[in-house]
Amino acid sequence: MALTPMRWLAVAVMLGGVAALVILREPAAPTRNTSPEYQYHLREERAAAHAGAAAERLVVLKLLDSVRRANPNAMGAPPFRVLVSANASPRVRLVSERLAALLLPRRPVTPEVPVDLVLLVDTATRIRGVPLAAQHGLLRTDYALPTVGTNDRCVVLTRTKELAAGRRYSDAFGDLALSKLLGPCAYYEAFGHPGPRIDAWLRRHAWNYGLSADWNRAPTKWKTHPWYYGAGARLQTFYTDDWIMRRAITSRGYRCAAGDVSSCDSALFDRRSVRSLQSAKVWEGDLVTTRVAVDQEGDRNYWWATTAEELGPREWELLAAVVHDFGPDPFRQFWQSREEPRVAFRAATGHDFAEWTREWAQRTYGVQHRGPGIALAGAGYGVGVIGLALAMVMFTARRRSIS
Amino acid sequence: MSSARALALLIALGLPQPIAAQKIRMYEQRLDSLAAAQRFAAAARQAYELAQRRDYTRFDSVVVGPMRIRATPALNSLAQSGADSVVASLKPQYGRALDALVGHVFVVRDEQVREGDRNASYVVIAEVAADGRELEPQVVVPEVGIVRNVLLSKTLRTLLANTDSAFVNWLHSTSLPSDTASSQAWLQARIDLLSSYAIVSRHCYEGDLAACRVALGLTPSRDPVMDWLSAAERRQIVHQLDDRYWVRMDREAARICYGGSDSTCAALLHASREFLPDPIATLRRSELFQLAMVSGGPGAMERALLTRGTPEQRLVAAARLPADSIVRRWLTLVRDVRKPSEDMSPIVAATSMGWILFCGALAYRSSRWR
Amino acid sequence: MFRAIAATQWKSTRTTALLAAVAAFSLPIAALQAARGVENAQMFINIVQGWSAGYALLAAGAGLLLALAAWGPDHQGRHVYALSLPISRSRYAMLRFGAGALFIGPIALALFFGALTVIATGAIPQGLHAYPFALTLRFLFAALVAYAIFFAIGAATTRTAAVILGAIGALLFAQFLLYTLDVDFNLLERVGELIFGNPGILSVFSGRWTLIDV
Repeated sequence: MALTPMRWLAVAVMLGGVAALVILREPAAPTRNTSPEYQYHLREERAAAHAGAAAERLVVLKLLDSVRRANPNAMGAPPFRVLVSANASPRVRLVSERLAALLLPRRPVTPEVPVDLVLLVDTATRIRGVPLAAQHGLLRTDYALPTVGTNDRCVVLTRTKELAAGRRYSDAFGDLALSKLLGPCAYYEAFGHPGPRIDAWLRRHAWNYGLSADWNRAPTKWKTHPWYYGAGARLQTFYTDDWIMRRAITSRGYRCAAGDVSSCDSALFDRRSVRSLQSAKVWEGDLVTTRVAVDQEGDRNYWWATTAEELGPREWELLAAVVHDFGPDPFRQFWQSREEPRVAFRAATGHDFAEWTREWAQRTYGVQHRGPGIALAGAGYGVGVIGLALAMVMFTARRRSIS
Repeated sequence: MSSARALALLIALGLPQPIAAQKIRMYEQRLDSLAAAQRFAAAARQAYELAQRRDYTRFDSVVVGPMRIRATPALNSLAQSGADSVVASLKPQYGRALDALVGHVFVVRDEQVREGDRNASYVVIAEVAADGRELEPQVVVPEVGIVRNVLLSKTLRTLLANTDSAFVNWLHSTSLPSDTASSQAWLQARIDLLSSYAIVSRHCYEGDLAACRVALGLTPSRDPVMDWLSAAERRQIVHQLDDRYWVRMDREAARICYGGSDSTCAALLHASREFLPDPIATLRRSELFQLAMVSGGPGAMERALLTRGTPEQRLVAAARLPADSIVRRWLTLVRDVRKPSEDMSPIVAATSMGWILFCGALAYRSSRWR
Repeated sequence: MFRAIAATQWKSTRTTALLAAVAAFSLPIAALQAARGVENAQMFINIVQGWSAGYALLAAGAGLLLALAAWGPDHQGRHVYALSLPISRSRYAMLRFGAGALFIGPIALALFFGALTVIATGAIPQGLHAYPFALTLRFLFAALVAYAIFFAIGAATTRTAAVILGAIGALLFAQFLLYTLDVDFNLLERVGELIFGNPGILSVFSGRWTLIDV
């Protein structure tokens, strides 16, 4: 029986239907560890995590309290001070002097809010019987923001550690640490108190975008290392260019970098408390805490990075990029505006915040692509290959004789 | 006085109001209640684990020399043959050092594991702690050879754990050697030495025994940055570190290092000590003791474990040779051992002939010349 | 003339086209089934993306088999029939090309319906989107490129095929020589990048072939 086109179609439809029925089935329910032993361990771990977090906050409050008690408010104090704890060794004091020397030239001529950089060596390993997590990195910072309407100083509470003989504090003076050390206090210092709605936005996790004070340096592009794209990796990832980027940014952020402005808007203003690496959190109204030390976790462009940041690994320098792009005066206008952030941004810069964010994301991470498309050049090459093949065919056919 | 000093180290100038004592008290109370919840959760877990502990008194007792095993009755013979084999194989080299096992009890029991819709029988082998907990249980199939190997591995780990921590840290292994080294190990050691990032390893290969002692960790290095590396290597590693992390290092100092200041490069590397791996794999240290087994004869590991002292002293006691002689023998093996060529083997020849015949048959059947 | 050539070519191509069409329909469904039940959106995308090689291989394979089927009867008859037709040889070759390329259409259409079936199941996690048109167009384009390449090889003489194979062999030999001479230059990696990298000569086959993305 000849396979006519109609029969062919019928057979194709039938075989396709059979294939769909065979392949598609309900997936198995995800297996979860419900063993009692695991549940007990989980409860204990969670209880320890909560207690650890509470212990950490109590330590910050107590340190801040002791610093403030030792330094009652006084008129005429310098606008920028570096204070070091009494128990600091001569090495730590040298570190504080070096930091002061590096930071002082970068201070604004007329600061809006004075800033104190307090360097402490916290040797406590427990508080009220609860063990404290060991400190990773050299400079672990918490920020006490000033209350509006007062002459409060913005305090950068920096905990360091006494290094063993032979170890050095070099990482404390790297670009990364110096750009992040003053964090939110740098914005208060340069631009004053934020408007109430800007402040509310910052408190809704948006301080994650304002941890860098390095707005005088042109931002550099985030890039991965060539060896991540060595022969083996290229073959394994089928010559895709974006697999590290996709690990380092959320889906929403990726859509933003791919050009979807609504995703940029959502990432800016609808940011949830995702477990990001920096996780800048505001608590007790005026305290900002981050999870990592300022000298740790730079570009995080390594393939084993598993924490995706909302707007990628460089999201912490987003506000600094705004200052760099538009200048301090427009930024101050945005910062101090009483309007909500979108309106304030447009009024100050003439641009849409979400659209600028898209442009920033594409500038920082490169233009990302969604879906199965190919580059224009690739399509051009394909057309060229077809043309070349046809030309070869015609050339060969002309020369053909009985073979 | 520098401007930095003018700014820094001043106390008793204004900061805002102290944090309300009430707020701190509130956090203290919160911490206390969370700590209580944690203690409660820990106690609940411990109570559960205690209730799950097995009653090993009902198990059979297997005693072979210093080795003590508790086994379920069904696995008694498996445990017995495993223990017999382990003690017999270790006795010649470890001798009285095996007495350290006396205070340790192992368990060999059965375990049912759900596989799909049926239960499969496996064997769990672990050490039993004083409080009845099973330490590092391993689940294996109930085969004599496998049970024997697991018991051997656990025995060697226990023996190592009973030595001093300095030796354990130096050896950087979780176990002791049970046999001499294969020729493959010497070949790998040669590759290790020649491809090491540190110049001390290449000096070792060239015959510098002092360099070998440093590379193998027999001579502790107080300053690895200077002892292991050349100036060019120090500069190169600073470059790699600088490139790898988003300028976490002191940029100014790095620039001076690239300009040729070796002391600056060294200072930067001193700050990054954790990034400096050992010149050659610490596995080579175990091989020294494997070599000592050959030169020292029976009881080599017994002498190594029962000697109190530095790793070098243990090694000398094991091998009954001066340390330099051991290192010289090690180096000779590393440089001279060859392995037979794998270019041709009967399998390769047979496979090639098979393909030739197959393609020939296809060509013969071709319609082109029929 | 074109209809006649297409009709004769249909006889040698229909079985291949049928199998390729069923495979093209099944591929997106199989990719979805592999990813179903995964809760994390990024992991879902990664699993679906893992089937990229399948699309590329199917496109290349379909192009290869259709091109071989196009020239099969002529090679068997030593091109006697073709050369006896009252049209120029190059025009005849173009008609053959067109007739064979026509059968890529049903295969691509089957892929499109497979993609629509995936969307219809409703199993795509929230926040992700399907790209059935883009995937189908890319498949069509890739199959056409593969078809053109193998059609040209099929149209050529044995000597041409030997030259091409020899060039590939020479490349492998050159890499081997570099390796034995301990020259730190990965020729195959460079060539691979030139061909499949972004943008590469044949980058239509590599990269992301995912039906479902953010």
